[in-house]
Amino acid sequence: MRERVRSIRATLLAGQALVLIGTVVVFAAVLYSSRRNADVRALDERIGTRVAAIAAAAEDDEEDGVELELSDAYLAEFSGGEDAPYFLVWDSAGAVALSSGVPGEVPLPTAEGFRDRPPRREATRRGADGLTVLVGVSTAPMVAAHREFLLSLVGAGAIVLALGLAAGWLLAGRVLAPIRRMSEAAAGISEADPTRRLDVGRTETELGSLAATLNDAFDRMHEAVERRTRFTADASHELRTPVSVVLATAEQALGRERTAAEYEEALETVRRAARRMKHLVDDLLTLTRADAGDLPLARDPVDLAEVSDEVLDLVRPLAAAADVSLALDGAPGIVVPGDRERLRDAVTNLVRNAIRYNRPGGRVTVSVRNGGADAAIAVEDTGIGIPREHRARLFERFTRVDEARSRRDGGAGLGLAIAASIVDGHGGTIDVDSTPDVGSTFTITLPRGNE
Amino acid sequence: MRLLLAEDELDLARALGRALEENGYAVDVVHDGLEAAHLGTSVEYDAILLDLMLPERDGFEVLAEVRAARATPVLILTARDGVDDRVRGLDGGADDYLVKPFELKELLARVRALIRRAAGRAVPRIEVGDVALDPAARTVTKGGVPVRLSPKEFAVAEFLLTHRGRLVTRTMLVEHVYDDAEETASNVLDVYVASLRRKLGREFVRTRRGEGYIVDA
Repeated sequence: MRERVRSIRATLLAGQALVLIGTVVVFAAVLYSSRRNADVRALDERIGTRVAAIAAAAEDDEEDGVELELSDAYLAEFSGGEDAPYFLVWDSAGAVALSSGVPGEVPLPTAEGFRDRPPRREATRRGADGLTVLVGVSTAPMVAAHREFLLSLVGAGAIVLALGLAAGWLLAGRVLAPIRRMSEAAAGISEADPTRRLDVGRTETELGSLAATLNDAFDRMHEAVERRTRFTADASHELRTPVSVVLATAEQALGRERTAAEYEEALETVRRAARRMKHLVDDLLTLTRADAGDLPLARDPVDLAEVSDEVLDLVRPLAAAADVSLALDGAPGIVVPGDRERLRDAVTNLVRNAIRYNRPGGRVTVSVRNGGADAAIAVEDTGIGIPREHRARLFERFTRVDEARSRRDGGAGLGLAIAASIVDGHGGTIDVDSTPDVGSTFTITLPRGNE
Repeated sequence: MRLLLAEDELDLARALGRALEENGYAVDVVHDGLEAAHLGTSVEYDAILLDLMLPERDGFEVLAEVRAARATPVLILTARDGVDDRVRGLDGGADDYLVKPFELKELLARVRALIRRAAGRAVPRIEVGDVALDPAARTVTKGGVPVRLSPKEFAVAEFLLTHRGRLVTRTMLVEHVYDDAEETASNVLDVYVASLRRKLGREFVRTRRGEGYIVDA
């Protein structure tokens, strides 16, 4: 994790260095070239005015030859040594007529204007009588000044670059520090300490909102893990009672020699407990599959009245034992696409509950209704009703309104959870309406689909 | 020794009740908290085996009621294995805790230990003179020689020896040797006592006329 952070910092710095170097180079180049151009222009003006003055003053007389009508003071400037300006005048024949001390051989210019003859710059002008006038000057002082300027530019650029990069490095470190802290905090979130969270800081900053988002994700994962852990604990808890029955019955029966009838009774008890475990395991498997999203559901046309009729046939013995009468309200013909077996399981769970939590002499009515785009099966009982505080958790796993009563009937509190998961798999909804001491109505609403 | 078993799971209650009876205990089995509280407070049991998840009144409530009236040893039997439940049960006055599913022999050993502790003994074997009784093996020896006793004879001997040095009334014996379902003709006790005298020695049990029996410490 640390390596990664450092490399982000280095990448930021490299990018910044590139931009800074580019900026400094362009800036220096512009500065340098404008200074150079300005200096060359000043030089040109200096020699330009002089060549113009000399050209205007020079004339070729038949007798006296070439002469300059200029004061000695003016001409004194041209004899100042190495870096001083110099001039030359050629006559119409191309021979040097006049010259201030000239450094070396100067070739006859072919045209008017300025020319570079390093380390000199010269200006040429045609004068009267076919004369050619040239004024030149050494560029050495200017070149030296330019070199010095360039050096100072490079120095200044290097300082700017160094300062900029140092500031960038520190800034990147500052910006990345919260990320490092977040990664360390995230690494500290373990099974042993699952409630530890990232320090959010100010949520209006990008990192703050990132931390908040990550914390939300951690919360959701923690909840999912807790839910699963609770589910596993509840499931093993539910298995304890039937396992106890098997163990105690077998050990008791094996305590000594028994009659065949006694063994038979013990085996019968063991079978009951084993069936209860089988139901539980089946239910757990159904729920786990539904959670994983791979509960296989067929999509056949299912007649809801037929399914309800089958369910009532199935639970008739249970209803008779509980002295509860059964009624079906609704004609065949209301068809939804779905899994016939699973839907029957869902309705069976509702009807079983309706019988179990009814009163002697009570009634359970299953009604099938058509609501246009939807179809509904309602299971209505005449029981004691469900207290409001239990309704919210009713469809959760291992929820039992009357724990002892449900357990004695072999219920593990999974029936409604399974019904809800099956209905959910069909894209439907399940609702409950209950009035204390009058009864409860569970309604499954299923989409009819495009038949 | 007489036990109260409060367990709402019928199959489990039946198996446990029979196993306990076959190990010489008189057992009253109830299936709800109301009955458990009623019997637990009104009858002097040697130990109560209490399931926590009972209808009508849960195990904790029954425990509180029993504790308000008696010091009867209570062993909690439960499918809840949370530490909080265990602590709550023990702090509520229970003496021991057994999580389902459990082995029968562990349950029996815990019941024996409960009864032994309640009688103030640390050593499991009870010895009086040359008579020794081992509650776990359910054997009695006299001078090192094993003596065969019927289950009821053993129950009477165990109760008398557990309460040695103290007067044991006929009512106490009847209450601790028989459960509710059995016929309790107290003159049958005289038959058992006479039989014990014959097998363990005339001086083993003394009769206090009109009061009861006593085994010298």
